Amino acid sequence: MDYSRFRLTFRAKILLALVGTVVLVIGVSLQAINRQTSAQIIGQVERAAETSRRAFAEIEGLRNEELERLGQRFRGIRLHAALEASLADEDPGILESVAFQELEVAGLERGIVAFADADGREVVVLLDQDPHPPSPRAPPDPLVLRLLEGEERRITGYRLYEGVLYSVQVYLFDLFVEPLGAMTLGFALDDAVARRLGEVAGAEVCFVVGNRCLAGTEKLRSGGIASGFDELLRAGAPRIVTTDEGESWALMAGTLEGGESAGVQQVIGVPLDEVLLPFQRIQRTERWVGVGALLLALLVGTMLSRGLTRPIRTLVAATGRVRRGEYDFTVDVPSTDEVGDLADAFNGMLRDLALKEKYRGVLEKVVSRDIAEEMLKGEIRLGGETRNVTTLFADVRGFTSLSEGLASQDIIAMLNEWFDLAAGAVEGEGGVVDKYSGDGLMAVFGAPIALADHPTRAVRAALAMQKALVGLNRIREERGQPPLDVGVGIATGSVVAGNTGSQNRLNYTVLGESVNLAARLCSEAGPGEILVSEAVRASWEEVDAVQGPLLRLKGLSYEVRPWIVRGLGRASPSTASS
Amino acid sequence: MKLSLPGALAVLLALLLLPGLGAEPPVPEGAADGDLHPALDAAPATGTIEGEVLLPDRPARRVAERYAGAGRGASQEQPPVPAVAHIHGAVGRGPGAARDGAPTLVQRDTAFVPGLLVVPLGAEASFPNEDPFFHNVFSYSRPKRFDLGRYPRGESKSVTFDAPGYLKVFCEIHRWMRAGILVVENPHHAVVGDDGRFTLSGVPAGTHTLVVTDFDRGAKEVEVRVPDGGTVQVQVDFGR
Repeated sequence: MDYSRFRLTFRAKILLALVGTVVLVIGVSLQAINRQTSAQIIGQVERAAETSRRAFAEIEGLRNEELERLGQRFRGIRLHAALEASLADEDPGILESVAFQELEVAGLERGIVAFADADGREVVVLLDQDPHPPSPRAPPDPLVLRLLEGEERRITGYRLYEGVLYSVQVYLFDLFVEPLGAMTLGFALDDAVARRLGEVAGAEVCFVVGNRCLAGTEKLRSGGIASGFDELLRAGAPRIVTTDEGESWALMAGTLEGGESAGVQQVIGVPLDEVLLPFQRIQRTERWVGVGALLLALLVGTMLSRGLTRPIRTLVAATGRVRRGEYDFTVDVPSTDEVGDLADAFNGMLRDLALKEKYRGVLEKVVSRDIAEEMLKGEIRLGGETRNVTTLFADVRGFTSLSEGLASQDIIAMLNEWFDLAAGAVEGEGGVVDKYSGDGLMAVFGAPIALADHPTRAVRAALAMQKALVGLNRIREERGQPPLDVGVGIATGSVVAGNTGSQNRLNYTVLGESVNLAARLCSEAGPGEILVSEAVRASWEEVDAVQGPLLRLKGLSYEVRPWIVRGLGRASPSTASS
Repeated sequence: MKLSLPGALAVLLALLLLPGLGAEPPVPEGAADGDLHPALDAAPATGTIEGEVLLPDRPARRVAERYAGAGRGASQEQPPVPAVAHIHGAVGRGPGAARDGAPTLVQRDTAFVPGLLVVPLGAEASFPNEDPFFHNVFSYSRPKRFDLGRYPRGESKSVTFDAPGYLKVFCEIHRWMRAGILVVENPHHAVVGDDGRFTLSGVPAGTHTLVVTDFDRGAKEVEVRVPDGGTVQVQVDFGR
C-alpha cells in the first residue's frame, strides 16, 4: 500500500484524536445513562408492581377474611340440608329460598352465591340476590372441580361469570360423610375495587381476562394505554407505552394467586414521566456538554497543533537553508517544551556545522579539498599505504633574482599568483597539491584518491601549467613585470603515501624514490621545460617528447635519461629540441 | 257417536260390577290386600321377611370438621342413624298404630333420641327439648318441610306427618345433631339392628317392594316375594 499519497497533517491527527476522544467519552456516558435509565425504569416498575401486589394481597386478604366470616354463617346446617333436599328432589326451589333467606339475614346484597352438586354441576346461582338459573349444559367451574377432586375443604380464587369477575371462595359441603357439593361465595371485582386498589398501590390497575380489562382504573380501562394485554402477559417483562398526550407508562403483567382457573391476570401501569424526568434532564445536559466539549476539543486541538506545527515548519525551512549551505543563522522558537529543546539542538547543530564549515574552509586552504575531506571524514590514520602515484614538482626559475628589490607583499603576491595558477592546473587534472615549498610546489596524482591514468594527468597538468603561464606572463608584461619561467619534473612509481606527523598536526604526503626523482628532474628542467621519467613516458604511447641527455642526479645511484615533453599526441616534426 | 241412555246405563253397571279388573279399586280402611270380599272373615295369608343389610364402611374422604374434636359440648361423636326397612306403599289395614306410644323425637344431650323415628302416616309427632339450651329442629325433606324455631327446655312442638317418606331432621344450632323420620303407610317396618339384621313378620303374602333407607347412603329397593306362612331371606347390600 502506498501510504505516501495519503497524508494526514499533524493538526488533522490531533484534531481527530481529540474529537474522537470526546465523541467516545460522550457516547459511552450516554450509553451508560441509557442503560441506567432502563434499569431504573425496570426497578421502578417492579417496585410499583410489588407495592401493588402487596396492596392487592392485603385487600384480597381482607376481603377473603370477610368472605370467610360470611362463609362461616353460610355453611350452617340449613344450607347443607337445603342443598341435600334440592338434589334429592331435583328441585332447586327449596335451596333457592333458603339461600335467599340466608343472604337477607346476612345482609349480603351484592355478590355471587352458587351451589353445585358433587359432580360440580351448578344447581342454584344467585347474583346480587337474584336467582340466575344455570344452564344444565354449562360446564362445571374449574375451581369447584378442583375443590371436589382435591383434598381441600376450601379454596380461594377467581371466577368469571357472565362477563363479570368475582373474587370467590369455594366451600365443600358434605353431610357428615360424603361430599354433597360445593358452595361458591364471592364479591364482584368491579371498577370501584380496582380504583381503590389503584389508590393504595399508586398505580393504574386492571384485572384482565384474555385481552379484556374487566375491572380496572380509568386509564387502563379505556385510556390510551389499554391495549395489547395478551402480548404483555406473554412477554413477562415491563413494556413502555406512550399515550397520545405524550405521557409515558410502564405496563407489567402479573399472575394472581388462584386466578389460573379463571384465566385472570393483573396488569399494573406505572406512570413513568416522573421516573424518566431526571434522566431526560441528564441526557439533555449531557448532549449540551457533549457539544461544548467538542467545540472545546476543536479549539484546543487547533491551538496545540499550531504550537507544534509552526515550529516544525520553521525547522523544516531551516533544514532547507542548511542543505543549501547556509549555516550562519539561528532558528527562533519561543517554546519552552520539547519543541524548544529541538530548536535549541538544531541551533547547536547549526553552530557546529558553521564551525565545521569554517574549519573545512581553513583546512582546504591548507591542504587540498580531497585531503581535507578525507581528514574531515574523521579517518585520520598515521599509518600509510604503498601505491603507485605520479609526483610532480614545479618551481620558478631564477626566483631569487626576480624577487630582488621587491617588497615582501609583492613577493608574496607574485608567489600566490603563480601558486594559484599551478594549483588550478594540478586540481584541474584531479591531482592534489601536496605542499608549497618556497617558490615551488609538489603535487601528487593518484593519492589519496586513486586515478588510473595518473601519469597522463600529471603531464597534462604540467602542460596546462605552462600554457597558463603564457597567459600570466602576458599580463605581467602589461603590468611591467618580468615573466615567470617554470620548470616541471614528473616521475611515477611506488611510493608510501599517508599522513605524517603527530596526532594534532598532520601532513599528507608521499615518500619514495620516484618522488626524489621528480624533484631532481624539476631542478634540472630549464625554463618552460617539462622533464618526465622513463616510467612516465612509458605509461602512454602517443606523446610528443624527445629524450633528453643522460643525467646523474644527486641522491640517485643510477643515471637517468629523462624525456622532454612538448605536448601530448603524435610528435610533430616541427618541434625541435631546445 | 252419540250414546243412548240405555247404553250409558249399561256401561255404568258394567263398571260397578267389575271391580278388581285392571286398576286397583280404592281399598276401604281396614281391608287387607287381595280381599275382594270383606265379608269373608278368613285368616289372611302372611309370611316373614328376614333381612340382612350390608353397610360397608366408607371412610370419609375428608376429615369432617364436625368430628374433628372441636370439643363443642357433649356427644360430638354421634352414633350413626340406624337404617330402617319398610314395605313400600299401602299394605294391609293402614299404617297401624305407633308402636311405642305417640311418636316422640326428644332432644337430649345435644342429640336426637331415638336416631330413627317411625311415624304412622297422619300421626302427630312431638319434639320435646330436654336440654338446658335452645334447639331449632327443622327438616327440608319433601314429605314434610318444617322448622320448629327455637324453644327452651321443657317445651315441645308437634308436627303432623301427612305424607309418606323419609325425612332428614337437623338442629340448626347444633350441626351434628341428626335424625331420620320414616312416615309409613303400613305397619310393616323395622329398624335395622346393629348387626344389620331385621325381621318383618305378618307381612301379607305376595310380592312387595322392600325399601331399606340409610340416612347417609340413601334408599335401596328390593322386590320380595313373601310366601304364605313362610320366611323369605333378603339381603340388601349398599356396597353395590
